[in-house]
Parts: sequence; C-alpha cells; structure tokens
Amino acid sequence: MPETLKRFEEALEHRPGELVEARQNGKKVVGVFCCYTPLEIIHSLGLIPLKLGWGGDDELAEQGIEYITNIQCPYVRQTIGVFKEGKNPYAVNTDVITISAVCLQEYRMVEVLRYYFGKETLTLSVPKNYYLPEGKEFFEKEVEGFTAELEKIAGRKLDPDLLRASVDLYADIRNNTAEIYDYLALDYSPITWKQVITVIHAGFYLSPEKHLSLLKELNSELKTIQMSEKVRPINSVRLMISGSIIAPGNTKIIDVLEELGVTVVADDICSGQRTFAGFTVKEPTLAGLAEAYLDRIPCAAQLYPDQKTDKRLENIFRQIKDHRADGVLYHTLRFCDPYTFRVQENKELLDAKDIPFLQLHTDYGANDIGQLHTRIQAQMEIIKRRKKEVHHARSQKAV
Amino acid sequence: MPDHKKQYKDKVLTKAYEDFVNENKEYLEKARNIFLKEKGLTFRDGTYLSPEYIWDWIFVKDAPEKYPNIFIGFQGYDLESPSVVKFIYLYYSFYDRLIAASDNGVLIVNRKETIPDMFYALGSIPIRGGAGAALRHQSLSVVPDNFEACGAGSAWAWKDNRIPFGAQVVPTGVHCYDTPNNALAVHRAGKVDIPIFYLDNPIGSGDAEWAIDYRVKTLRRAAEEIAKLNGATVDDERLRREIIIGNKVRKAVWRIYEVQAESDQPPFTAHEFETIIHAGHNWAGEPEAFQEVLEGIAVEAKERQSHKVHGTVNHKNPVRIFVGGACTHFRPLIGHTSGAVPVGVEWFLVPSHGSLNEEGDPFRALVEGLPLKSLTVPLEEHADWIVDRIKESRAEGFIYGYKWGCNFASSAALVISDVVKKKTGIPTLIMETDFIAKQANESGGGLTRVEAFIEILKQNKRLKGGVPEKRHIKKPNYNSAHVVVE
Repeated sequence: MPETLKRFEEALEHRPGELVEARQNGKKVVGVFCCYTPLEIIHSLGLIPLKLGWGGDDELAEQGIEYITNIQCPYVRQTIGVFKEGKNPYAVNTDVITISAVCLQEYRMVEVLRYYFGKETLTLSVPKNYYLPEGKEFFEKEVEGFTAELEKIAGRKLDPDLLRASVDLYADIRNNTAEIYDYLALDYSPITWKQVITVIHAGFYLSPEKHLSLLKELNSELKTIQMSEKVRPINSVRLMISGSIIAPGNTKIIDVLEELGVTVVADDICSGQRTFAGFTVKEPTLAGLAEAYLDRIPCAAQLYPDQKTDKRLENIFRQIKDHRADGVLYHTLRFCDPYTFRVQENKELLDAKDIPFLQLHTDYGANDIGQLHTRIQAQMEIIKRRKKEVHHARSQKAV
Repeated sequence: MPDHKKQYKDKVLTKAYEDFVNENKEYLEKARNIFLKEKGLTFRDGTYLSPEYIWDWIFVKDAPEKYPNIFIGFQGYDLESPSVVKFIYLYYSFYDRLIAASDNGVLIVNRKETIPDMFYALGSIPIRGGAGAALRHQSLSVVPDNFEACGAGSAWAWKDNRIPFGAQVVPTGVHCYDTPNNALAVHRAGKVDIPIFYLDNPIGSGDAEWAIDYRVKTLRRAAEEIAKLNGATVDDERLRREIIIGNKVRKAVWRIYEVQAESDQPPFTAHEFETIIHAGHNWAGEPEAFQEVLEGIAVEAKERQSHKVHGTVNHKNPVRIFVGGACTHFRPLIGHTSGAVPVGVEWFLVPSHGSLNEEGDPFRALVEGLPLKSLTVPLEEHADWIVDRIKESRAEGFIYGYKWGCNFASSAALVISDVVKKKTGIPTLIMETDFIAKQANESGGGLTRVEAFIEILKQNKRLKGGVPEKRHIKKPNYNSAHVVVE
C-alpha cells in the first residue's frame, strides 16, 4: 500500500475538528449533493464545500424509512438515516444543503431533509435537454441565480480573480486524480481501484488545497513505486465497474471482488471516475463553469435520445479499450431507476462486441452476499475460459 | 389493429357484461327510454352520432363483444343521466376512434403530464401516458412484472403495437420518473422507431424568468417537430383558439368536482367520479363533445341533488375522502357500498385547476398554467395545494396513493401526509398499490386496509355527528367568457 494513503487517513481524522473550528470562526459549510454543482463557485466565495451522501450501511438505510418509503434507493434512505442519527460529523457540520437536481430521488431526499430536519436548502436546476442550445442557456442563467443565492450565504460578492484561482485549483485536482487513476490501466498497477476510490472520496471532505497536496504527494510516490518494483501482479481477470453510485462507505461489491482475486481496472461511477473525467473548463467564469459541468459525462438520469452519440456509453467503451477490461460488472442499486433502465441497452451493446456483462442488482444488506459471490465467481470462470480459448486460438493461428 | 377477441379470450370477462345486463333489465329499459329522447353527439369533423347508435354501441354491439370487462363497476354509473351515458360512449370508444383516426393519417401522440391543447391545435390526438384512460381500463397496458419501476409507462403499451403512436412527447419534472426513462429505453433500443421529445420542466426551477423562457422554447420546439410529422404548421392563433376550448373543458371538469365537493350528499359514486374526472386528462379525442358532455353531467348531477337522488348506491351521509398521490385508482377500493365517497382526487384535478391565458404567447400560457407548473413546485407547496382542496371539500379522511415502483410519488408520501395531518387534523392513510386489474380483483390486503380506514372515519363521524360544515370552494381563475356551466 502506498505510504501516502496513510496521510490521507490522518488528514480525514483531523477534518471534522477543522470544520468545527472553521464554523466557530464564522465560516459556512455548504453540503453538496450530486455532481453538477460547480464546487469552484462555493470555494471562491470563501464557503467550505463538502460532498455529501453515504452508502453501505443497511441499518442507517432502515432508519431512513421513517421519513421516506422503502421503495427509494438505499443510498437515499441511508443518507436520510445519517441525518436522523445525527452522528456523522460532515452531516452535523453542514449549514446549507445544495442539490443539483438531476436524480429525482436525491432531489426529493433534500426536500425531506428540509422538512424533517429543518435544513436550509438550495437547488440548482439542471436541464434534461442539456444538449440543446436552450438547455445550455438555461443552465448558464441557473448557475448565475444559484451563485447569487450563495453570495447571500457568504455575505460577499463573487471575485473573478478568486474564481479563476478556484477553477485552477480544481482543475489541478482533476488532473492529478486522472494521473493516479491511469495507473489502473497498467498490467502491474501500484495502486488498487479501491484505493483510488478512497483517494477520490477523501476529496469530498478535505479542503481542496489539502486534497491537492496529498494527491501530488501520492503521484510522486506512485512514480517511485512503479520505477522500483512490480508491486502486485495483475490478476488474470480485469473488470470494469459501471452503473449506480458507489457512495463512501459502500464496499460491498469490491470486498467480494477482492475476496475472489478480481482486479478492477476502471469504472464510470459518478462517485469515481466521473468526478474528474471528461471535464474541461474553457474559461474561468460562471458561463465557462456552467458549460463544463453541463457538458460532463452525463448521469444516466439525464435523458439523451441518441444512443450513437451518448457520451456515457462512449466513456464505457473507451475505458474498456484503454484499460483492457475483460468484462463489465454493471452494478445497480435497488430502485435506482436511471441505471436499471439502461441495463438491457448496456448488455445488448456489450454483447454485440462480445464483452462479458454481469448485472448485480443489490442494496446494502448482507443477505445476498453469498449469491453475489457465486454469480461473480461464475462470471469469472466464463471470462477465464474465454481468455484461454482466445489465447489458444491465437497460438494455433501463429503455428 | 389488435385482435381484441384474442386478447380477451382467456379472461372470461364476458360474464361481467352478462351479469350486469341480466341483473338490471328494468333499470336499463328505463334508462334507455330516457336516453333516446336526448340529442346525440356531434364530433369535430361534423359526424353526428344518434342516441340509438350510442346506446347500441355500449349495450348491444361493440362494447359487450370487445370490452366486456368495462361492465365491472357499471353499477357505479347513473345511467338515467343521459350525459353520463354519452360520457361512457366517449370514454370507452376512444380506442376504436383512435385506431380509425390513425388509419386516416392522424398523428397519435403519447404525452405524459402535458396538457392536451397544443396537440389538438396541431391536428393530432394526444393520449396521456399509462396508455390512456379507457385503454388502461380495458387491460391494454403491457406491464413488465419483474421491474422495480412503475409499469404504467405507456411505452410498454406500444411495444406490442397496441396503440399506433406516431410520436412521444414526455415532460420531465417532479411527477414521474419512470415514464421518461421507460420511453427513452424503448426509443433507444429501437423497439419503437418514432421520435421522442422531452418537454423539460427542470425541477426546482420555479417561476424564474429564465426557467419560464426555457420551458416555452422547449415546448415550441416540440410543437414544431410534431407539426412536421403531422404535415401541419405551428399557428399561434389556432393554439389560442384551442386554449379557449381547453379552458371550457377544464372548467367543466372542475365544475364536476365542485358539485361533488359542495354537496352534503355527494352525487357521484367513486367509480363515476374518478372515471369522469380522470378523462379530463385526454378529453376523449373530441374536446368540444367532451366539454358538452361534462357540462351536461354537472347540470344533471345538480338535478339529482334537487330530486334527493344521490349517487346511485351511496350511503346516506357517507364519509368524505380526498385522494392524493399519483396514478392510483381507488374506485375499486372505495366501493359504492362502502359508506365512503371521494370528494376529490389530486392527480385528476391538477390538470383542470384554473384556465390558461387566452391572450399573448400561447406557449407561455401553457407553461404558466398549473398542469405544467405543478411539475416544478417544491413539496411543501404541492402539499398546501392538497390541503386547500381538503378543506374546501370538507374531506374527513385523506388517502395518499402511489404505485409500487414509483419512487418519486412514494418519496413524497410521508411529508404530504404529515402536512395534511398538521394543517387539517384529519386521519391519513398511505397506500402502495399495484395495477388496476390487480387492485380491483386481487388486492385483498388493500381492500382490508381501506375498509378499516373507512371504519375509523365513520367512527369519527359518529362522534362528531352530522355533515361537516360547508366551506367556501375557491374558484380557480377561469377567464373564458364562453363557459356555459355556472
């Protein structure tokens, strides 16, 4: 394990205390749900952005049912459960909750938090017709309106120079994260996918300055490790994970994969690769940010009619190629409609390219771990056999 | 065209028709004599249907053979009300007329929670998602059983080419999650090779000027695309004229609600009331005829009251229930012998609450009208709208219903019920339901829960005594000068 990862852990241990102190000094903490909110704006206004949302704890998800029904996805239920429990330092230390309204359930969750927990909330509306000129124009105006509300909370106006600095800072974070993520494409990666995700999730809570410095440190260390030795031989099966959010705390599937010795080499999860990929701010202004955020690799909840030019699908296929994934594990949370509705399409498209596809539809409970284990294992056997057959066929051809 | 005989062969529902006719011979004869003295229906294209034709379609020729299951619950209709009989024809013949129109080249548009005016102005016929009012009742929806999404998304109905849709126009917003996704899935998979347009109502965008502008542009773009498909042109003047007709329809629907809500003894049974106001979503393919029929129903219902004839089989002094939520039908559960009656149903009433501006930009008028506006409002505002209706209709109980798999309507259930409890003090019940056929025929658990709830309301009523005190019913703003019913 890279040594720097311990430094991430240490930084995270200190973070709740820092937030308490900052709030005592008059700073406001802005909790952010979903990934279309320009964090740069929050940061440049002197507010503290925290990305919220949790997974993996069935008990907390059960607690959420007190405020919302059991046919919501477990991520939404657990997040409400976290606020109900009132122990999570990030939930407790959030002054204002913002939501970029893409996932309707998550939007409703924020409404529930407002009604039952008295949280101040702010919505950034996101157009579904994001690819049309009028959609882009709307979002630009929406970002301006959202910024005006944030200015009220911050008690100051947006400073273009500070915004530029924040844009540069977050761009640096994305670039450094991408560099780390790219190691996963190697035969012998010095860092695992789970560790990369941990590093990304650390950025949900740490100050961006701290996060960047740790990312840089980690990058330097990884270069050293790669140069000096082959740390961990790659397993024979390389998988890409796609589908629903895998929120901080949700290690259910990756734990099973690790147990089975499967290597995850890529993902297209909104809390993973899509936090940094396919993202360029062309100019450090509100308009530039609106354009960049709207144009990012979209969530499946964004409705894009043309399959052939869908950036989400392009991203999946590009990564399968670049990271040489042997198959795709498509993870869907129960009642997560946007991703569940895409299952059949993803399966058909991957089947057409002869790429093995396995859908795992699950929640945070432990009762299906055995089934997941068996299904993943069976899929691995299929992939291994295929690889052997391909290898054999190639050898024969060569002979 | 689908083979109805084949579809219904294994359902053995012809018995519903036979039972109804055999058990109500005298009543039917009396109703027939009343009805045949009436004038018939005139359609937009000038076609006139005589009362004899209408009666025979329902009771002799077409419906008994093609749609025998519509006779389940027929006891809930007042067949001595001629307008109700005409309504029955309009409602249940919609599918046949739709197929005929499509054969004649008329574009059939699957729309979800948009309002019909624009589609009629473009010469097309709109059907609300969920396969349309009568169509659903005739069990034409195709529902995937193993999906965690609500299966009412009408994309599944056309998967088997049961409805000849030529385009789908799907609004996004805070009401439905599954239809837009369902429609997209089918579209992208190439299962149905027809264009799809999203009428975007970004959630939380409210009344901001830029949000209204965006929604107007989106709507106009969809209209232009539909016009191209239909060989029509987008004509603002024609749309304004259609809005005027639409306002009359909306007012007529609302009048039905007012009659039910303001009466100490509500005249409509659950079956009648829900079916009639539900049809306000589509206008049965014939706006003018539909408006005329609804206005007639309101007038005849008033007569029923003045003659002390109330909803055909209602109890005296029934408990009054307001139904909230989305896409749920409680008519099978609030039966005509249950001692309860619905005095309002949220999702049927929203599209008819208030009129649209008849002047200026008609697209802006459509966007600013409640039906589309309601797709963007915050939850508490939504709850307050229900509270206002509950107070004015003197409801003594509130049922919030949603379909299994509809995680969006369900996610509002607790908040809305809590707001209702807090602001009205009446008992509330949250019901998760399944499709109507299952609801009507198989949902013993659901029936038990509703019956128990009604018993609680009756108990409350006994303790309080009498009919709840009359309340002023807020008149929505209907600005058309042409509305007849007052």
